[in-house]
Amino acid sequence: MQAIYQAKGLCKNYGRRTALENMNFEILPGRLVGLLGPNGSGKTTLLKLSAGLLVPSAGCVLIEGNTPGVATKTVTSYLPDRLALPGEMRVDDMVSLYGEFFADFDTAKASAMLADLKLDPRQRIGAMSKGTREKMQLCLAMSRAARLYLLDEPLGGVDPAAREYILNTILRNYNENAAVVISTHLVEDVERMLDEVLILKEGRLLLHRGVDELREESGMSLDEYFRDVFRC
Amino acid sequence: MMNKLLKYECMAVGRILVPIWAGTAVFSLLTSLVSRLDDSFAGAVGIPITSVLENFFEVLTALFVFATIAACVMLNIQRFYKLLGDQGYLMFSLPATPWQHMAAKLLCACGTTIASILIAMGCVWMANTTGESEAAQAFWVQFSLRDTMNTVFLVLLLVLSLISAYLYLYLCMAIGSRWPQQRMLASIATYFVLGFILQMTLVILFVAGAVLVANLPQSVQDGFARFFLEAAMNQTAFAWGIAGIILLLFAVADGILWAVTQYLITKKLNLP
Repeated sequence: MQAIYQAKGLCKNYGRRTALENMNFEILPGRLVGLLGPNGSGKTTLLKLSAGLLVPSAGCVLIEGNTPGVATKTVTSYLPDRLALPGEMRVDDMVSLYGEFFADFDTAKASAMLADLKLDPRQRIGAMSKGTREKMQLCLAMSRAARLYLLDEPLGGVDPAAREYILNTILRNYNENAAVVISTHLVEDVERMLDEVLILKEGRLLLHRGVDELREESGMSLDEYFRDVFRC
Repeated sequence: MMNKLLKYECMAVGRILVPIWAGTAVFSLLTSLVSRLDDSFAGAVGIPITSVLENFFEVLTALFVFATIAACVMLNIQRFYKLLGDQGYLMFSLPATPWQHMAAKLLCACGTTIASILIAMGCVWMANTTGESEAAQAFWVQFSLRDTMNTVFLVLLLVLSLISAYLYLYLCMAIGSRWPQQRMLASIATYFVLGFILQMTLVILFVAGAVLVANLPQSVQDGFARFFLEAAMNQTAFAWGIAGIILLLFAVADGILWAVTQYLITKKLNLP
């Protein structure tokens, strides 16, 4: 099977500081991959490079054989780690924006998911709570039949009930021929759903392994392994 | 993709500008009505209420006319600033190139600014108050079709200088966004510092040019003098030559500002 995502010698420097150093890995379709690491380990930088929001200092990212650009953005659904939806727009404006820009966007699915959140289509995004905005952003990202989902901290800053909703939304809605990359610190919450794990430490890829394989090798759960590696 | 970006940009800007345009039109219409009403009381003893109302609506119309232009400029600046902020995470993940985002914002900014200027002028004309209407009439005389080439030149100059103004602001914001914090402050500082550097560079270039010409051999200087004297004989051609050079300089400046800004938001994008 051909890899949907490849990082080849990927490096990113911010001035003199190295954020990512010589990353080499591949992700196959149909895999749910956890991108784990402590703060400042380079998770967000890696996802931003993959989403085409940053340019690598060296090496490259290939998504379906293309470097990030218009072609990769049509097949990649990116969820940033912050609230990016314009506050002045209404819920239905956002749905129609996604519908117009992404050919793989399922408007009916998005409307149903937003109705589950009890969102009025005429409601202004600026008037929503932070948690609701995060959930809406996730619903929009997951309403696409993308080939690659890049989810940056989808569980960050939400209550446990919302976490449950978010994880179920991801599991229910991702296309089985697609790969999903989820960046998080909340290892315990995502452990049960992951197929593979990428662990970053100080901008370097420490480990890329199947979750079951890692459990067998270490004799620990992923959460325990993570705590063990990054113990202060 | 460009059409879609432009459509959403115009919708976002229109949501705020259209009510302001409508408010300006309503107040100028009211001023006009009250002014006509006041005329019918001309010669009455004392100060009729219509006179007070006329002054009140004139002030409101003037404020709205000012707000129309100011809000339009501020809004368009804010739209680009937001592109380099949190909203950039959404906009730059759309399948469009950075130059398309820039072009959509620039087209919308120039279009709405020209529309705001025209609406403001139309409202001043509609309000028909003495001083402003004279100014508006003078403007229309200038832009009348009696002198088509002058009008074309002025319109082109207006459009190119408007593009330069917005592109210069975009460049300052793109440079300001390189800072990890206090980006607004960095953008404002860049506006003044870059402006100062550009002005000093132009002064130095002019002085260097003057020194160079002054030190040219006498025969070359005589050649220049002859050229300008001959050119001055044909005033129309000379004027159009100068106009062409001015437009060309603006176009070159716009090109440079565009290229640098596009490079910064393509290769050096630094979202917060």
